[in-house]
Amino acid sequence: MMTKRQVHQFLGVNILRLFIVITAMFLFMFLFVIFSKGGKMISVSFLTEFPRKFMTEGGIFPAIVGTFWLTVLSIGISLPLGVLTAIYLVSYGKPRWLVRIVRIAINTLAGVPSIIYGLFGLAVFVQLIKLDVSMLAGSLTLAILALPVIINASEEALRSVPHDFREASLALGATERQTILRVILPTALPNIMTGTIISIGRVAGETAPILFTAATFYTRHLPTSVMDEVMALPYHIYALMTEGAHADKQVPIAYGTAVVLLALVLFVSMVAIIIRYNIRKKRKW
Amino acid sequence: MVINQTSNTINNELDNKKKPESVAGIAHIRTEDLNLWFSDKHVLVDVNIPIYDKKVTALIGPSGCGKSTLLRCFNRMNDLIPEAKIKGKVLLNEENIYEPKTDITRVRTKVGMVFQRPNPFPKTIYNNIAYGLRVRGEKKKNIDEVVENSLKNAWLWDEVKDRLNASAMSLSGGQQQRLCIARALANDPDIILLDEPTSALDPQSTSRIEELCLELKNKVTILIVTHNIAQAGRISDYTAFMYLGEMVEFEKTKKMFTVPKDKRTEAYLSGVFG
Repeated sequence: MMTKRQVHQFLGVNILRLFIVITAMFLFMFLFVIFSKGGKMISVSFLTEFPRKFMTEGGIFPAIVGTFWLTVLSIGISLPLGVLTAIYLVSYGKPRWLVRIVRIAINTLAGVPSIIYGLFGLAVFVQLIKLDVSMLAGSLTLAILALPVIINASEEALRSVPHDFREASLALGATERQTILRVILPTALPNIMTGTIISIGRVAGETAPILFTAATFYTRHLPTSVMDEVMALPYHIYALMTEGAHADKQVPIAYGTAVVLLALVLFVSMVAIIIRYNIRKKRKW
Repeated sequence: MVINQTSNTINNELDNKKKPESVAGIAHIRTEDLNLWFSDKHVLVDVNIPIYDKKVTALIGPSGCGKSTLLRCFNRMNDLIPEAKIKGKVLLNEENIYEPKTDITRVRTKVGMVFQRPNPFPKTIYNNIAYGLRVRGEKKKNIDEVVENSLKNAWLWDEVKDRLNASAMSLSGGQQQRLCIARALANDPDIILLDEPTSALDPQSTSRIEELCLELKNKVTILIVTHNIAQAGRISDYTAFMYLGEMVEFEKTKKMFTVPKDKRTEAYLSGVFG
């Protein structure tokens, strides 16, 4: 016979369990729906061919290439920018009013809806700087979108480096700059990677920011320079579901594209996680 | 000029009759009327202390008396605290290290430091020792030799010579602290500052570090902060007793521990407060 307190404990734990199961169920349902509807579309030709007959046949190769490059370029822009900003905020942080403004700006950026990034990119990169609709304009827009996440993650990572390391380095006659480059940054790197991984997922999947800045419904060519407009997976899904006259043929392709997009994000994340794991294994404290 | 009664007495004693018998060689580093404030809090009050060459000097006193703060004045680590304000001089080989034109990195190379908690970098054993040399752009071929000598001098060589490329984090606490000593020695310092170096260690590691200090004083000057009175008695040649930011008494350890001059020193040594 259980006492009253044991009953409470039993009920408490099992209620928590129930919520975990519900949460997990959503995730599994999500994967099940996407994969059951799109999984059968996946084939070598789907991955390696261009779309044919107004998107009703063929593959999604150019969209894969486009999303890959958009992601690489935007992370390539926002990672150094974000990490350097974080270093400044953490290590120097002066004058105070400037730091405060930067922080407000970062947090505001983080909350801006992504479609507004799209409009901003159109106004500034496409029209003002005259990059036209291009991979570069899209990547810059996506880079700004990823910036708050990368800055916040990097700042967190840099702050979590034990103060002891900084003191040890300075006490050995290193300058502030050497301390940052040789001790603090390498120690913070695994956690900076975590922030980057999250951004990769976000950037690869965004539709709105590239809608007016980089994406095109259909192109016969793979991009040859950053000034080309490209097809991209998320936009491709959007286009398949909203345009064209053959919904019966387009919808399965859209789901197939969703599977590929998921797999791509998963793959990039895995690579980053493996790199991070290897760095962490070498540095233990 | 405001003259503090207590420290003034000590100064006179040091300057006049104490010097002939207690001065063993030159004072490698000494302070002149050193005052330090954290914001409005007066942490160090007119401190005058000589740290003699190739001797072990212990700084003792109750928690919060300013002994660690004083220690951190000698390699300008207090510069890291923006609220800290310093007046007075710290003379390293008769050069004031608080002159505006001082190269702080050079001071910190000459005055090494070992901290309360072992703090090796998350790098290999080799790279930890080589760090000080590398930041000064030392040539690669010299580094091997310095690493080996430093580890030998810190009595760590035999334990780690087969795994110089293992992470320093894989060492035990006592080994890590000896690694930190070796890392400081690699810079070929004149003085090593030890800030309660054994307070995070077990008794065996502690006695090993103490023995090491006695060995090292043949090569470098050692200034150690400790809250362990017995430790000060075991390893130091000179002891400085601090109380509420003042240097109450500076004396040869043997003498202070047998016949303390100041009532406060006597009370502290006999465990009345601490």
